[in-house]
Amino acid sequence: MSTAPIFRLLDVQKAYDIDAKGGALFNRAKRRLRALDGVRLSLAPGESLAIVGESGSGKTTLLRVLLGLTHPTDGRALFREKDIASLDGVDRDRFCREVAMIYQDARGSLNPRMSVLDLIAEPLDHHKLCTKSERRDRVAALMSRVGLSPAMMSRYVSALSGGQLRRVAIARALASEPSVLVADEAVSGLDVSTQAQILKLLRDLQREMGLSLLFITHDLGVAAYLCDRIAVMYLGRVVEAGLTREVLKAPAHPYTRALLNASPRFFAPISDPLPGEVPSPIDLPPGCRFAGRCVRARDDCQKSEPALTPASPTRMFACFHPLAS
Amino acid sequence: MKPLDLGTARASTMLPAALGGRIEPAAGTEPLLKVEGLSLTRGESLILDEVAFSLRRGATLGLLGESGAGKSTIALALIGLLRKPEVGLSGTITLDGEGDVVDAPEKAWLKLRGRRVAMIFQDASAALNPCFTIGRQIMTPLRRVLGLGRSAARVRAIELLESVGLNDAPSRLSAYPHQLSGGMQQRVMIAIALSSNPDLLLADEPTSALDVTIQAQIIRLILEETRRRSASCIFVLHDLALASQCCDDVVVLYGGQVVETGPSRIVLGAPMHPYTQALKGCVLEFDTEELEPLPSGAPSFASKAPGCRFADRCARALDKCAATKPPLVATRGRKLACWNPLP
Repeated sequence: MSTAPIFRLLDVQKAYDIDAKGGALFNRAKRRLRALDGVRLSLAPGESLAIVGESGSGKTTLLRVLLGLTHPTDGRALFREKDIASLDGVDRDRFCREVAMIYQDARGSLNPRMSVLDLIAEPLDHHKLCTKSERRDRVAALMSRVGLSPAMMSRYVSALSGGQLRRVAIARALASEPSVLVADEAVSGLDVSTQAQILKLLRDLQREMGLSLLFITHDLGVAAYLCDRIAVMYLGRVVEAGLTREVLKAPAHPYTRALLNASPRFFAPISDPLPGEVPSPIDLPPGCRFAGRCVRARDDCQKSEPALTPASPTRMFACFHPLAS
Repeated sequence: MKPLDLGTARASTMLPAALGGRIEPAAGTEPLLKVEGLSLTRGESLILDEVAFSLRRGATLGLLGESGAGKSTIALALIGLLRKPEVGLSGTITLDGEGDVVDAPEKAWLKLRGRRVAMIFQDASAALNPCFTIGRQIMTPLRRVLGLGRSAARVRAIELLESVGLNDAPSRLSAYPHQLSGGMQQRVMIAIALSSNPDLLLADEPTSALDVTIQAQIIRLILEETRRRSASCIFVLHDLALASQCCDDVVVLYGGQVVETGPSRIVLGAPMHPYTQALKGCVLEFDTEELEPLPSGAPSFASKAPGCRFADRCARALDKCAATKPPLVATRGRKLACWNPLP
């Protein structure tokens, strides 16, 4: 297998034009919301990458760009060195087969009128991956792989628990024999015990099947457990990226530090990690977009925006006044 | 200023802070809340099985466990939304100064709910009425419960919103819930819950829909505001790490039974019940290499099942466990219900 990256994002920007309120009909100032603003990422075969950030940081927009559901307004999003926006024919089919998605809302992502058998077999049928006689056996094998009893094959979504639903969603994602799993908050809203089971399953699958994993989460503990690499996003930009262990051990960006401080830890005092909330991404002022909430901000932070620069081969951050390691 | 007609026997401690503040409770009084033998039966199922705990004035308590453990059911019983006899609730809930309220009729609860016991719900966006402004929703209890006039209620509402950290409070009064972020909606809920200075605040997973930085802000806010009013708070949580940070005492529930309870430093610091230990093992810290998740399974609520409800998922289960229910007994600084506890 080649080691060329599966996904590459080159300074991807996604901006939405918003009508300003008021003003005359033909004289309305357009305002721009930059959901993604110059994002650069790559995902190699077998690699696991966590995208971490709070709501409004652009995680979901990033995912939509990766899946080809929206196209960047600037920059390029590449799948195996081809533009995702212009994939067609054989390339498009291959993309659909290789990239499997696990959605945040498992219940909402599964058709309630289809049995578990049909739900998991749908990708098999669509990509014509097996004959009619093999169909049942393939589904049974997938179900055992994700820890579901094949006896549940004839059940419907309404008869499954939250944890079982996630397993069905994972089996369905694995059915097309993908090389990349993309998961959006795939364990949020579960009990800690069920969450632990699903996380362990995902990590085992990723390691045993050599899958690439792109995991979107707001939980640094989940990111640390599942992913070798991490990218921390704030308001549409990656502010720090690198090996998960290095980043969490000694964060350089004050925002990463704040996220770490805010994560619950046994018997640690509850800190007030950050004043205020994530500001509106519309018409951001010049300078570092985190400056308004940053305790280390100085004059130069208000003037120009720090670029994401490499500090070592495995580490990048965008800050003028990083925390010393 | 005209004296307020609060219509309750406890009017003296009910004065809002703006009108003279509350009277500090005398030291050495009875616990604020005492729950004893609280059971809930539905048909053949025993949803809560002899739940017992007590809460000191000014302390925080965490109800912990997986979904289905009965945490929210207990919270509903504590605010009088589940009452016997119609739902099969038995046992006693003693609220300081009111006696046993488990039997109290709705008319009595109307005077307690909001005034002495208030609740912050899990999903603020669903708990706030989308059709009314924030101002109307926060001023209604001020006017109806505390009997404030229109302008006094407005002044108090602005104070409350400012105290929960909502900037630009006067203009927020005319905002509708959908115009606020999730964190701000939760702040409004806290302001409404605190509006009549309750002694007991119930917070049912108040931050599970919020980002971690906002979660820390909200938990701190609840702790500061309850401490300032020397009120007590019960958190319903499933995150043990968060519970260790914000609760003085914890009650760990499994299938409606208390399995371990005591000071959080003792219970969560060195769990003795295999279930508490298993839940603690599910919490991810940044250096977690291996997870040892509990096997899947849900407790049986069959009222006739004799043993420990956790036995079928427990790695330390003995033959005895499925046959006889372990009693809750004091062991090394806590109360524990287990035949084969961790050393």
